[in-house]
Amino acid sequence: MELIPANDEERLAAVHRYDVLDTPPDGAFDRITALAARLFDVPISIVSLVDRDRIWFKSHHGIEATEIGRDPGLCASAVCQLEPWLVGDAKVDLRTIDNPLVAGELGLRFYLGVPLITSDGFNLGTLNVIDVEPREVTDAEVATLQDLAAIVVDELEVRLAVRRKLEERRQRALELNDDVVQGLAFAKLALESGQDELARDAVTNTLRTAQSMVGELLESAGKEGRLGPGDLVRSSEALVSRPRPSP
Amino acid sequence: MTASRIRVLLADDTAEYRQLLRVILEQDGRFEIVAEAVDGAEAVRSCTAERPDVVVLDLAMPVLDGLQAIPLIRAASPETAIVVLSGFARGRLDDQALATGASRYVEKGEAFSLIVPTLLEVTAEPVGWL
Repeated sequence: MELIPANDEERLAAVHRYDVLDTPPDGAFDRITALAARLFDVPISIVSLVDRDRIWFKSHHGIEATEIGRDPGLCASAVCQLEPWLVGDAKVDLRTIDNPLVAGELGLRFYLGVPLITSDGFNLGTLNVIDVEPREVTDAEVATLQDLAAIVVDELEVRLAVRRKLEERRQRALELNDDVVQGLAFAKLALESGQDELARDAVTNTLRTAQSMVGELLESAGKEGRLGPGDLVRSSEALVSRPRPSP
Repeated sequence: MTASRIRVLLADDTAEYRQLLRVILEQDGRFEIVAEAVDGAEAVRSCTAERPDVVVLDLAMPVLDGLQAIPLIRAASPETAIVVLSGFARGRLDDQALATGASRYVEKGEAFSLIVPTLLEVTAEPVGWL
């Protein structure tokens, strides 16, 4: 079986954009693998992400390893398709009979891996359940694992969205510094050096810039930037000519 | 008198800042503006070519920021003192700027009266923090 999907470079870019590889254990994912193991009554459940040369485990319930090479990994096969990958008894299945995870110490017999598919259609890895005994699964069980896999992807998406929000906020702070703080600092400097006209122009331009930045921020915060009664109640009185108290 | 004037490079992407600093320093009479740079890379190039006594360096600039430019300026023109003039409040970036080789960190919002004494101070002391 071909173990590298045709779109592997784009798929790897998708894996990397979540910036999750080699991050510490995380309760949200660990709860999902613990739940999957309990529901299937199996010893092992893993959230795996298929990287270029390795399969890295974001969560590994019931097994010490945190990653394996891409070659022997069953997830490498699972990641080639968008359907669940089921091996009921690996010892008699021609796809897996020679696999070191099956023939070796681990003695894997049962594997069900469902793909972690992103909203834009990339397969990042799997949520899988593993047993050392052969077993069968029902369609309902497969559907359950698919739902859990969708929760794993949701968790990844939420983390990515939060990170992007924080980056955006940082970018905004830098823009505020460039466009507003610099303008005011310039006006102060110009005033102090007797360049009144330059100072006045700087204040006028900075005011206009600050107003437009506030407008953009409000628009990006939803409601198309419209304000209504109650939106303008301040948490404390405005400070224009007095210094802000230190927190 | 001309011979003893302090040679200054102004590196700031905001034209108004360069213009205002030029006015302040030229009015004082003890400084000569030898070049202006609009980004960090140009600041490094100008320092290499002009070997000024002091560069007044903004931090947030295109191409290379001030923090990236400081070690390159130090390497290219070790005798040039670097005075950072930044819109960021002290405490956020001054440690990094000083650790990489700047002599002083001045906030853009600080008193205008600080600029001339700071430039006189850094050009009177030996450069070479290493």
